[in-house]
Amino acid sequence: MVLRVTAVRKAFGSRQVLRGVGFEARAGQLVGIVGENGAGKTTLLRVLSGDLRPDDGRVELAGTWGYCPQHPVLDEELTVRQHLRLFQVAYRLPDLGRALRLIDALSATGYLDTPAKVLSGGTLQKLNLVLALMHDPEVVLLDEPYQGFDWETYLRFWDLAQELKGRGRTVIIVSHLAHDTGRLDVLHHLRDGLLDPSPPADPA
Amino acid sequence: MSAYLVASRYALLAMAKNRLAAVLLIAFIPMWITVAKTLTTPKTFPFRLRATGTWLRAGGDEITMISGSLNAVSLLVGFLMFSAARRTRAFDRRLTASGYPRAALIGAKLTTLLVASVLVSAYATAWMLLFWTPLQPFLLGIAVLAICLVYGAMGMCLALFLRGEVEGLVTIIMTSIIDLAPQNPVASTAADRALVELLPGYGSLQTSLAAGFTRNATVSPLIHSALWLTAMMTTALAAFALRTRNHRTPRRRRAPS
Repeated sequence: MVLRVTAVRKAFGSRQVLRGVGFEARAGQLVGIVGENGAGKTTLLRVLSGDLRPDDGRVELAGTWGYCPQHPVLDEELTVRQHLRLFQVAYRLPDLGRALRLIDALSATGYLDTPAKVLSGGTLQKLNLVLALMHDPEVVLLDEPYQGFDWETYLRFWDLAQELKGRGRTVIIVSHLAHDTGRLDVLHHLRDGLLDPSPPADPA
Repeated sequence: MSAYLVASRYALLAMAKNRLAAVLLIAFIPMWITVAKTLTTPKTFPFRLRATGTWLRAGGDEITMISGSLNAVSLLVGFLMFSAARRTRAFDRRLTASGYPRAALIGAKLTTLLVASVLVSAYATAWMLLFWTPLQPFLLGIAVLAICLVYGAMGMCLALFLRGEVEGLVTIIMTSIIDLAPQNPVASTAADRALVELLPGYGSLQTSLAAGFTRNATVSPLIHSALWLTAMMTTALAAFALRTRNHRTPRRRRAPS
């Protein structure tokens, strides 16, 4: 087991967002967590990434992780390449080989020297995603990772997810949409601050 | 290249792209200094330099130019640092959560503040020297540098609770006016009151006046500036440290049993 979440609770003021969430994920699993807007999906992912401390419960995560926030968190004045360079330092990577391959796989190589402030929403999201994957983490936490992607990029995203799974990486995908669930190994529904496990739908 | 050098380089590059600040620097500072020197009365005014207790006489145009320059540089550096701190607030959090050394980012912020302050103060002092020959030009430059540092740190503090760029700019402009107007010996009868010692620009204005019109190397008022700088820098950096806490780093291993 690479990720074990046990009875996680989180409240903001009097509003109880997570009311005892628990699930497990193994190496090489694609796990989906779906729920309506405001169901607490982003809060759960922020707890898993360590961005928020849970009020109660435990998160045990083995190995390295990468977190792709729902809204691209970037420095608008810096170029794509400068972002990669900063995260190369953060992750202590010897080179940018993998990051550049990911950028290429998502068809964003032409924007390497473009400042973030003039990139389209889809390209910003590509960079947002690459920053979470460039150190090849064992657990990947993705919050609505394909929003703004065109159809081609959306398909490439799933190729990438399959490639990660094939190499034994665990991918946790949070989304408000429950389509394409056939691509997932496990699907959880977040309702009223609790997770309902449900089997994935048949592939379309 | 070290984490500090990469962060500093990018922080300075990003700051250099701030177009509004560039326009303010290139056009506003010379304009302010020119207007103050040419349109204000050159009639001399007697005033007591609070820092030394001595009575001095100086032209109204020169006093107004000093006060106006401090006003212009304080709002410019304050805005620059506010804008940078506001822009990178969430990004710094993501970078540190991913393992970027916090000390390197703090070092980069201090470097940005220092570089911006040195450049802006040198530019403004050079413009003043075109119109006027103060008795101690170097001390004048130090006094202008001090107010740049104080307002730069203030800009970083304001970014902790003001969200919009306009909110920050207006707050810095108003603060600078409220700070310097009551201290101007030409414009205010309150310039010699004890209360002015509490204002953030007190150290710089007193030192500038001493540099302009005396041969005494009066640096004691700069202790006030140092206290303001320390208080605001400590607040800004403590808030940064608090906000960039993460409960798990990407490189830690803790295997579930």
